[in-house]
Amino acid sequence: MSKKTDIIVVGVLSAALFTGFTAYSYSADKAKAKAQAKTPVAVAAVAANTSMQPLNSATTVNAKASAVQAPADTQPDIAQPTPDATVTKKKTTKTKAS
Amino acid sequence: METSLAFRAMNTDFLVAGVPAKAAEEVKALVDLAETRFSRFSPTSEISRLNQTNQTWTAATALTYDLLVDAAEAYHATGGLFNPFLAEKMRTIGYDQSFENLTPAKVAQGINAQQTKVKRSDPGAAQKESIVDAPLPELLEFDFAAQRIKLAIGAEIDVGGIAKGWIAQRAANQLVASGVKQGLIDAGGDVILWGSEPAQGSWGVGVGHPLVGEHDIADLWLEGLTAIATSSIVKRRWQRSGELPAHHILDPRTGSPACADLLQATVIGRDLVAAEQYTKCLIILGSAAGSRWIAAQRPDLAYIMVRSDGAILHSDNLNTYTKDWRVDAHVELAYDNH
Repeated sequence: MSKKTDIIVVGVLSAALFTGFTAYSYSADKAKAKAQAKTPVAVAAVAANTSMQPLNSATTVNAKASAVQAPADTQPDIAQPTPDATVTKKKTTKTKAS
Repeated sequence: METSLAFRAMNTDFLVAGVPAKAAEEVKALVDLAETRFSRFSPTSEISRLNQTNQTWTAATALTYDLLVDAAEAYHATGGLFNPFLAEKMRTIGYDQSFENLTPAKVAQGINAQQTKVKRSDPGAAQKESIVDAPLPELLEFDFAAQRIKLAIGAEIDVGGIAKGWIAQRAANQLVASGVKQGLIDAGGDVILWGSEPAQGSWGVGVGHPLVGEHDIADLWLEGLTAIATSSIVKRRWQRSGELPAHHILDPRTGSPACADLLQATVIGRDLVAAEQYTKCLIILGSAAGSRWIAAQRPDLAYIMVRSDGAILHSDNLNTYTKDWRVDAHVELAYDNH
């Protein structure tokens, strides 16, 4: 192998290493960017769950209850609802007196 | 392609959801027809004409005849607590025209007055319950072969407590029979639904706060045939000069507006006609007597009640009808005193 050939091989290897590193760096940045983009969504979801909490009352969530629930003063002051799929679903309507 | 159709009829707001557009239009046409026939405020309605027949056999249209059969059955099934023959009493207490034309009553004043009345009547509570078991007078006779009816002397029909739910149930029955796989019909807050909600599987129905329209005191997630109805003494209140406020749920045992301890009652079942009538029975009987009575009469029905002190009570069978649910334990009641 001539000296000229050696220089070409070293040059090609250097270029390959540089390109690979750049590609790796790009992927890492992209993944980081994706992660950053997801974070606010997750926070927003938590906020949405929080907003579903009743503002002023204890809540019973899908629990077996006695025939008639005890009066409010015997209930825990704050009963956090179990996180479940219901908080992300959309209600179609409401039953009410009219 | 499923659609939603909202419209105003029978003095309330209707919503038809999750059904093909043609089916929604069919529901609207049926409700519009019911409005022309069932109103007691329109002198030309079929009900108004039947109320003037003075104990003579009179032919009725199929729609009105079927409604009256069901109303009479409800009257007997509830021991007269649900009473569709109180039109004259309603007029006596001032509900003699469409509600929009009456003077609204302040909620606080009315409820305070009713609570005072409850305290006075507490010693007689057992006696009041026993009246439910008294023999009922036959106020309406039916001639099935000729599709005719005959009203007893002094009886006057008022189907305001059953008509909305009844026509919604009838519309749902027709759609199910014609092969519509899922849908929801909301008749001013009385709801019948069936099948699965197209986008998310289960239908979400909130239970409205008795005083604050935008708040819900409960969320119900439902699929399959389910009916939910709510009655309240807070809505449709009025006041005549010099008189106590009145509301539209009469206690047939006294002829006066119900004055037990409930602001609102919601009943859940498979049939909207039954759900609607039993909400009124709970309002009339109150939380203690009402929960005992409905457990004995219709243990299949579920309920959520709001007492006038803010406590929310519910039956233990909500899981029978729901995939998921949550119910607040109590509610803040900030009455409008102004």
